[in-house]
Amino acid sequence: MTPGLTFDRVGKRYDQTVVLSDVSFVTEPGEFVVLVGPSGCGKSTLLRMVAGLETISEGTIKAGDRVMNDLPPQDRGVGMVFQSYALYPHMTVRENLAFPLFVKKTPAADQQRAVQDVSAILGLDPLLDRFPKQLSGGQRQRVAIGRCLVRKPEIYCFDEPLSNLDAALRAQIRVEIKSLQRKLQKTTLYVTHDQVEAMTLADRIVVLNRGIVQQVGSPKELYTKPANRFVARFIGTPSMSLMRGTVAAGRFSSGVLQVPLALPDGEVVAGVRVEDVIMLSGAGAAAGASAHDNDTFVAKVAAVEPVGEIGYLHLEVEGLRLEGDESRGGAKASDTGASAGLLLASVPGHAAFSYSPGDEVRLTLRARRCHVFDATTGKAVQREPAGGEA
Amino acid sequence: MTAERSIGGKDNGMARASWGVIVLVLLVVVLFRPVAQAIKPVPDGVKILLWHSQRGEERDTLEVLLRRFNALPENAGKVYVEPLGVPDASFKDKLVRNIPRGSGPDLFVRPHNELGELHGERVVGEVNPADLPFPAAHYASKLLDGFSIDGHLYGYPLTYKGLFLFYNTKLNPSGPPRDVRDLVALRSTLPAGTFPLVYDATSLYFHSPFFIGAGGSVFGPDGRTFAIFQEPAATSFDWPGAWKRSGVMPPEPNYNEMVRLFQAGQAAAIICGPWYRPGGAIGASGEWAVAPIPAVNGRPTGSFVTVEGVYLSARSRHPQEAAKVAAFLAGPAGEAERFDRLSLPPVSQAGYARLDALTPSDPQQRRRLEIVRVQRASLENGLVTPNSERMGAVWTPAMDLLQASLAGRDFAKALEDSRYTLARVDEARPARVDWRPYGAVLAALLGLGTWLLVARLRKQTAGHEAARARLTGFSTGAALPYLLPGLSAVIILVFVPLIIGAGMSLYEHEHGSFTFVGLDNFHKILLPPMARLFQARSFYFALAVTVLWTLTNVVAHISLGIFTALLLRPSWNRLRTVYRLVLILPWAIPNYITALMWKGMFNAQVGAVNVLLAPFGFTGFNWFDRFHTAFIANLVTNTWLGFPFMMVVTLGALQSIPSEVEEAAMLDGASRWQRFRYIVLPYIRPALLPSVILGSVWTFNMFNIIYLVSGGEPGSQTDILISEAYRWAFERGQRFGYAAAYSVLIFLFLLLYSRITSRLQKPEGT
Repeated sequence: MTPGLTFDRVGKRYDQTVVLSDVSFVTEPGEFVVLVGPSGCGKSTLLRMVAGLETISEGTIKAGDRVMNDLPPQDRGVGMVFQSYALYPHMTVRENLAFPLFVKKTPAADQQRAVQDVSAILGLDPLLDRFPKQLSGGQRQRVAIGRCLVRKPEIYCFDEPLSNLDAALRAQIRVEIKSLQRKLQKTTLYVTHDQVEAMTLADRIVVLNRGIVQQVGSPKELYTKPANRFVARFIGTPSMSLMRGTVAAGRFSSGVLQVPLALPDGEVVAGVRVEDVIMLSGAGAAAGASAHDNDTFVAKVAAVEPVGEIGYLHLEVEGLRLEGDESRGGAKASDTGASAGLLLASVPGHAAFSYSPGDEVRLTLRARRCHVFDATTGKAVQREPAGGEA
Repeated sequence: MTAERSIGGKDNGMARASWGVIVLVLLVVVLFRPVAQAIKPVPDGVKILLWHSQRGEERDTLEVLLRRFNALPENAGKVYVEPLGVPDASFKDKLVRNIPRGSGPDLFVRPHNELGELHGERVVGEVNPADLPFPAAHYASKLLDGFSIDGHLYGYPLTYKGLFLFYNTKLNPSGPPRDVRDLVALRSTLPAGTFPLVYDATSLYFHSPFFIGAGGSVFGPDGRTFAIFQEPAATSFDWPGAWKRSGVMPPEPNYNEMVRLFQAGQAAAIICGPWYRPGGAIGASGEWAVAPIPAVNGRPTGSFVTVEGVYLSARSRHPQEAAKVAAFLAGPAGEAERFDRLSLPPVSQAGYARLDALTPSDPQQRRRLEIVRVQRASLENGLVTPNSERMGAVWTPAMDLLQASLAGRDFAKALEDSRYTLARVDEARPARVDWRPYGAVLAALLGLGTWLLVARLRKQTAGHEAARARLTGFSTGAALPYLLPGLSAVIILVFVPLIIGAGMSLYEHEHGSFTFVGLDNFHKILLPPMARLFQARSFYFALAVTVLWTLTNVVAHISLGIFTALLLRPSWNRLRTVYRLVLILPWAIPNYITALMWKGMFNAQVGAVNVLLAPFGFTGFNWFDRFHTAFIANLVTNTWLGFPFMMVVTLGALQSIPSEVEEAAMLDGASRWQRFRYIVLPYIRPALLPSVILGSVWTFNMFNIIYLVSGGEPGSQTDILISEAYRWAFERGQRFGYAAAYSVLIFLFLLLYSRITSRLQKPEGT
């Protein structure tokens, strides 16, 4: 029976550097949990602490009722797949797969059977007598997963397993991992910095930033109810546009941008996803979309990015004050160019081709789906009624 | 003010200038002194050049005598002597090189034991007995024997040195031991840890009193046949072992140890020579005296006596004048001066008559007189060391025998071995061989080699490799100028010596002349008598020892190197930089220094190893008595020297292991040992293999450690091929050809080894 994991005020410190602090969350047995965050946020460290490759400085990690803190790695029932695959280069695939059993001095016949089972699941049969260096990246990844499977661990850990693969392969293996996990029904911790992977794979996502848990929730929760500005920006592609403005008499305005938001007066940060910016004129204008004239505004197309099934428009909105991007690192790029912020909007792919820079468009925002964050703390501000679906 | 200052400044300048002048003058004086000496007025008359290697007071005495000779009125304007000090170690070489070219001295001063060899090199002039300062019959008995070869006389005796007994007057209240029979009884009367008699029992020279007392002589009546290992005296070589075991002598009776014991008051008596003055506690208290060497079972005995003489050069331009100088130095004036200033024994009976008349009241004077008298006794009852060049072959087998006795090995067998070693000197000289068949084979081989080379070059200039070279403009011709400096260095430093060495292996060397003997040396090395096939000093024995030596060393170096590297790896080891530095140090220190330190540490009496192992009964344990302990001593030393290299290589290789792979193994449940065995070791193996090959070649030829630590003891058993080759060349009668043949065999062996290992390496690389 696969156990759930309990993280209770877990912290990690190297000398003076705090890597993780006060990490607390609980996962259900058999759940696929993705740890996501920008590089350096401590997600890999947390995973290695579960596997026993790092000591736990503070708090406890429990698997079911078992406290893992002082168990040696091999006794934790944790299997791990590394980013670099960590295959043994001097052993064949067969030997790699059998190694966990070989070191336990399992009888050769049992080893053979276990290897056969696993290679059947992962389609490794034709590769068994090759050496790792004779395999492609995807094949290596499968062998690494296979070596993990052979041990029959109760908890699986994946440390950015797809980041060394090309995009197409990544999508394919992603699906394989997901279906494998469904089949095995084992608690799985999966570390990635790619929020697409996180959204597609996870039952539950843990967003980490600078060693602190930002939000724990299902992909839908994270997408629709980001707990703070960081999660709002980090989850979703392209990122949510964050605009600083003032609320006066139930209307939010930033430059010429206007949207009705039932909030007390004051300064806030409002966020809107691309799909909630609605074109009222021009190609691809939402059919039947209507709005009060005073909820619409005019913007100028600065750039067009047709990416296929969808197209992105970079829209110059007079006086718009965009917030910088702290989730993707780097300085707050657009803070200073306050004269005209670029608002991102999406149009259907075919429509994108009819826009060209310099065109003027009229648009409106889907007010119900706007997110509002405190101007100073960045925490989500609850509005009632809570933003429902359109 | 300004004026004053300027005047002051001027004064300063003047002072500085005058200092400068003084320094300059001094410099000129110092630098051009030789020139100044050269231009000083040359005395008139014939110049006689005298070479000597004496130092300190002996040199002063010699120079005083020569000045006196120069000042004699009958010599003024006719003849004068100029002395020249020549380093002792290269004296013989310089004589042999210079005298045949007419650039050597007219006279030279040497001990008589080199005479045989110098005579063989034809650099010594004969002496007319009539020119001797005393009539032949008036010399102390036996002295002239040292200068006679085949009835001809070749030198003027100056003085001589013999061994005698120093005894501790406090430990010997009733006088010195009179006979070796009494030694065991004496043992029981002495306090514990004190020995009745000590001497360097590993050396034939110091053992000579017992050998002579047992009735031994080095050569038979013909003066050529070796009689040293014949009865009755051969048994005397087994006495030191018996004495050691009965507590008469200490466990490791070497010279320094014996002197230490005597000076510390732990030995009742020591056999030593006139160069020695007791120091330490005994020297300070003055509680010592000298006596003749105790008799051997009632028979009085002496020792090997070394006579110092002055010789005429075979090529002197002024033999008459040179003979005059020699006669003066060896005459009554010289004799008296040497006794008065240096307490050296006179050589003439008249000289002794003069001494007998002396009755000094000063105890110092009395002691000096006594030292001369006991040396005379050693001469009368002893032997002048034979001057035959065949004497050189005797020392090593005699030492082996003495050591076998001390180590308690089978004496009869050791005696047999020593006889065999000595007998090899008399092996029939191989006949000169016709070189033409060899020349033909060589020419054929050269032709074949050239043809192969040309064929290969052709292939390279015609093949598709060459086509590519032409396209890229990178041709062999263009590379040549860049290669030339390195290539010529390699040719001069590697190939030329190699070819000369290989050539030399086909020759037999005697007295600087080489005889072509073809493959005779190889024949002797590779096909020794069956009985000797696997005994010390045979090629196969040395080869087996060498292979064992290389294997054990490489295994020890690698295991220790990997072990220390693994200890130094973990990041929690905060002092690892310091440890790394400390562990690399043995490698950074010149290996002969380390070897000598370890040699000292394996000393039986005072060595650190025995002191540390004392709880396990190692007190006084002699590491160099037995093959396996001597081998272990060598092994320990070389491991100490060799493991840091392997450690550094391993540390580098360990860095190539991705941490994730080891973590994966850890998660897979591999134990520490399994992780090392199945993950770490396969990872570092490719990096280690070349160092293993390199290390084994170094160890195979590790001359320094063998030579300095065990020195081949016991009885050349721990010698490896390279040190055997050295001994054949420089310690066993200059058998250069034989030694060169050894080196050729070593070369062939390593060539084969490197071919095999390079094959081994290839599959790893692909």
